[in-house]
Amino acid sequence: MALPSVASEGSHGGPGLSASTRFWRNTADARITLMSPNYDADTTGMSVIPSQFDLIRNLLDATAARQRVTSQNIANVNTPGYKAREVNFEDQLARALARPGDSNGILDLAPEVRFQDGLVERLDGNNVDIDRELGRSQKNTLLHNTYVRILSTKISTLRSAISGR
Amino acid sequence: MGLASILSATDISASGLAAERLRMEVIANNIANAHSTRGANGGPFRRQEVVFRAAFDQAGLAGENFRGVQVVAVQPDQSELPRVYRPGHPDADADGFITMPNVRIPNEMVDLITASRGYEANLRMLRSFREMANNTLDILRGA
Repeated sequence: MALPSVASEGSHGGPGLSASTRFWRNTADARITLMSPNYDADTTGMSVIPSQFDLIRNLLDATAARQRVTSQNIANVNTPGYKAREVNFEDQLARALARPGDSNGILDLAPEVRFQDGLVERLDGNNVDIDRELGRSQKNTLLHNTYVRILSTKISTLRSAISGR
Repeated sequence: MGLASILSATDISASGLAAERLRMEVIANNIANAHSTRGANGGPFRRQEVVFRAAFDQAGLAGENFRGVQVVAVQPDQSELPRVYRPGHPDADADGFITMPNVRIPNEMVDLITASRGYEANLRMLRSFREMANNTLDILRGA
């Protein structure tokens, strides 16, 4: 599970625990509260738990929203006065993970669109940096493919469990 | 999230492609008419300029309402028309001057390059979005 901007936030959580580990540990907590009291925490990754699909769906929503926002920025690269936007999801996720015991909030996160700051405005008031946007799009595509791969692996695991092969 | 909204990034990039192509057409028309002393309205040709506006469903920052870019108008450039001394020209006035179009070729070439780069960038966004969408649809195929 690669979440670059989350993994770089070293200040949250205990030492030696990567952000992605905490991410899945917290989702395990969320599952336990959703399930009956005597439900054992899933350690094999084999059980069909909707929250995992929801989480991946959330991440996919974020990449889809980012693709739209990046497309919008690039479509308006020659629009005078246009200000570049960006999608912020990983920061929110890191904040949610840092909250102790409040792991259910992760599923309610929605990608937030905000103005990019620290960009140089051109004379016409537009501040879209086309190279930055294209790089962002490449990175976003890779992230999206990663999430899709995780999801399809989960589904195929599920399928082989159902078919018993 | 509906399918239409999943595919809406395509519409955004398509609006960018259409806008940049229109800009290229207008620039080509400007260059073609750089020496036209008789424009549509009788006088010399005036340089045309495309006006873009960022399109949203409603004003605001929510992620769902982006609609790309919109061409608001193609307006004539009202800057001064240069006067050139050409006594032999059929359109010359009593003093031997003709009024030329206010098209400046270097400016048009710079605009042409930015339009062309903008077009390429939109096209690249369209391609990377197609890759994403194809990957997502592969889940349905049962990879």
